Amino acid sequence: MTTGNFDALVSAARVQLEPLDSHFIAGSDAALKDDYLTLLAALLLEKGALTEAQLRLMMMLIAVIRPAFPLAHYLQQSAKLDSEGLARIVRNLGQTKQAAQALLFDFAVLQRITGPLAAQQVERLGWLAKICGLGDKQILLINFWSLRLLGIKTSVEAFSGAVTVVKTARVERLLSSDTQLKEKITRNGLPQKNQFIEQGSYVFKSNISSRTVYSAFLSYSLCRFAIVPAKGLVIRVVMDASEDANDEYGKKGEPLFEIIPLPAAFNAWRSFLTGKHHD
Amino acid sequence: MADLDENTLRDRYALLCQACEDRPGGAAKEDEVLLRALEDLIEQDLPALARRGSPPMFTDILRALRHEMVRFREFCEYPALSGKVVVGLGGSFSAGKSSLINALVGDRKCLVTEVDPTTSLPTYLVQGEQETPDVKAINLFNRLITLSHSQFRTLTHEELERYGSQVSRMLKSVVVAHSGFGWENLALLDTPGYSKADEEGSARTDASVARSQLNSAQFIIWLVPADKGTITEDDIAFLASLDKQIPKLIIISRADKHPEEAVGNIVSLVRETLAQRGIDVLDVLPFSTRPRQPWSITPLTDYLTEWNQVWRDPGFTRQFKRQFMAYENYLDEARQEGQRQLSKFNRILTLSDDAGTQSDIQSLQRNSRSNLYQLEEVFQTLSEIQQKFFSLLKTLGERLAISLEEPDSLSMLQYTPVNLQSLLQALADERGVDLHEVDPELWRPLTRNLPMDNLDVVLRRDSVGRQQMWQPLMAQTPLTRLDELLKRDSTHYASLQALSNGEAL
Repeated sequence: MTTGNFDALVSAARVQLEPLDSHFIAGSDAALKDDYLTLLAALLLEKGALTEAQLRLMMMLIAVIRPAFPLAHYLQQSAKLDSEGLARIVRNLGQTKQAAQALLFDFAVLQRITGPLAAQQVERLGWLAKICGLGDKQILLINFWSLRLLGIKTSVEAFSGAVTVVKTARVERLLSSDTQLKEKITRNGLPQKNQFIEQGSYVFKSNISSRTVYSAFLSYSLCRFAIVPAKGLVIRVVMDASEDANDEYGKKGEPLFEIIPLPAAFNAWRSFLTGKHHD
Repeated sequence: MADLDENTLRDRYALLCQACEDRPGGAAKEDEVLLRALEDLIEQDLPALARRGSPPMFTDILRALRHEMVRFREFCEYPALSGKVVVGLGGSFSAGKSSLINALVGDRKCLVTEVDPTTSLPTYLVQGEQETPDVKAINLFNRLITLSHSQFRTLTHEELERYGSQVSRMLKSVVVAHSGFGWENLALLDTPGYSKADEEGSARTDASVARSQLNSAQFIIWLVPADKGTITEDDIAFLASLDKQIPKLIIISRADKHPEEAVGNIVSLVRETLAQRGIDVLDVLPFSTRPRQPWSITPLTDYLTEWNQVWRDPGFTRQFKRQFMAYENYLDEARQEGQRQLSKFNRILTLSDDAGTQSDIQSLQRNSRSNLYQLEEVFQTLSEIQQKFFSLLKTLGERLAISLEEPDSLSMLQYTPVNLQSLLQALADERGVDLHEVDPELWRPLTRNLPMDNLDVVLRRDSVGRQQMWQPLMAQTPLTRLDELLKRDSTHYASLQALSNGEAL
């Protein structure tokens, strides 16, 4: 075997050996998976054949979607798509929350890997998003996470519309043994910018040491309760050090930090996007 | 039948025996087992499977598989021919084909020229290794037989009258391997000269034989004798009846019989006439066999050398695969439809509270599941047949020293652009969605031409090697314990030491 052959074999094997995470659509019934892949293939084949990179990525997606048929089947079926078939697919996708968002994300990534999107591709994404009823925030999330996935550097400011603000639910000075802290994710201080944070019910303890000897002696901490509605990337910490030291900050629901949520629809890339793909 | 002497009769009988031979010989005997196994899969297993579930075009699939199998058998019998690019040599009777072949092989006594040019047997000239030209033929049973020169010369139109038998009708083709033919990947197909273009489809006239032979070629060389001053209407009609996709080269033969200027005019006239009549040709080249003539054979040999580089895929694996894919595709579609039905039943079940309706749906669901199960079984068996088929084909390929690997389905697909634009517009209209409201600005970030730093990592094609980890193994450090490791250092056993020192124990 030549070195070139071996390299080609290794390259082909890596698609199987280093799978993506389970795809959002993987748990759906076979018919929905078929619809999903047929529409994805139709979108990709609108202008002809797939590139090598697109084919490779499709193989990776197919491996984690685990449909009933091989990729060739969906590529063939897409050519037979008619208005009735398209209406059925869109209807079926609409019945599963976030399925359309997952489809558009996969399509955006598959298109972007061949180069910047052309006007026709943008039009197609826009039309499909509109027909599937996706809102501006969902579209911005597709943009943000697809760019991040591919390592395309971009300013976060452009995605202000996709931001979720995590606000203080309540503020209290509590003992570390307080029962109110049970079943809560407790953190000393706020998360850092560019850090991933999981969804959940949090208690952020103030980093500022207690102002009274009494409080310090009894291990009282200033605790800010907050709900992080979705897993996401922290893009801005709103509360500064002086606000942190202020017992009043948060009592009116003041913001703690901002995140860009990572939708469950992009699950296939979850560990990659959260930096855990080498674990 | 003429009176034949005993030797001629014996030779004739031997030739007849060969022509009737249907048993494999030599290496073909071992191939025969594999070929029979392949044929059994097509003739027994697939029709048996089709009884349990088959596409409406199953007979077409079977016919195509059979046809390809015949072609494959021919290939196995004489792979040297099937792998070559066929260049058809055509023209009217006495157009100068023999002279051209002589000039190409550099041998005035080339065997082909000794054949009656009116023979309708396809005769291929290929490169040979032996000094003496070697003549082989493939009979109707796809067996390769060897002919002597004298036997080959008897295969003319007069064969029946002269010998009382027509062996040439029992042969499919003849291959003459000549060491003077300089293009290893080409097979020059000498076709019978036609008298005039006959009605298309008429059987076994020289013209129809020539037409069908030329249409099986990848390139055509057509000879126009310079004597007539231009290309004849008959030639034009014949050329027009050939496959337009096959590139054609026109050779003005016997150019030496005319002054240089006149030949130039003939070339121009032929070129113009063909263009006017809508017949595309690669070129019109004058040619003369006489030395010191300006019409050298080099431009023609340049074309042959170019065609010699064209790689010809015998295409068996793809042809076979195409048929299996057609069957698979039908099953896939039927299975997909079955799954859709099941999905619909599930949805209806969740919506229905009525026990009677639920019971009916469950009954339909069972039925649907059973059909789906049967389709899955058929699909499974088809996959097994296919796997076995391509495994046998691969083994045969290894024996024939050519790659007969099963092609990947994806590489076989012919992509058809999908007209999504009108489909989406229609769907939007149906749903009352105004597509003009779509804001392209939302997608702007994806249109920027910026580098993709993660692309290789995403596609799993980044470098996997962590070179520095292996650095210690790459260093030029002496291996101090190698002998010890390989047990070739001095032994600790006294008895072995003594033996090693040549001492008696």
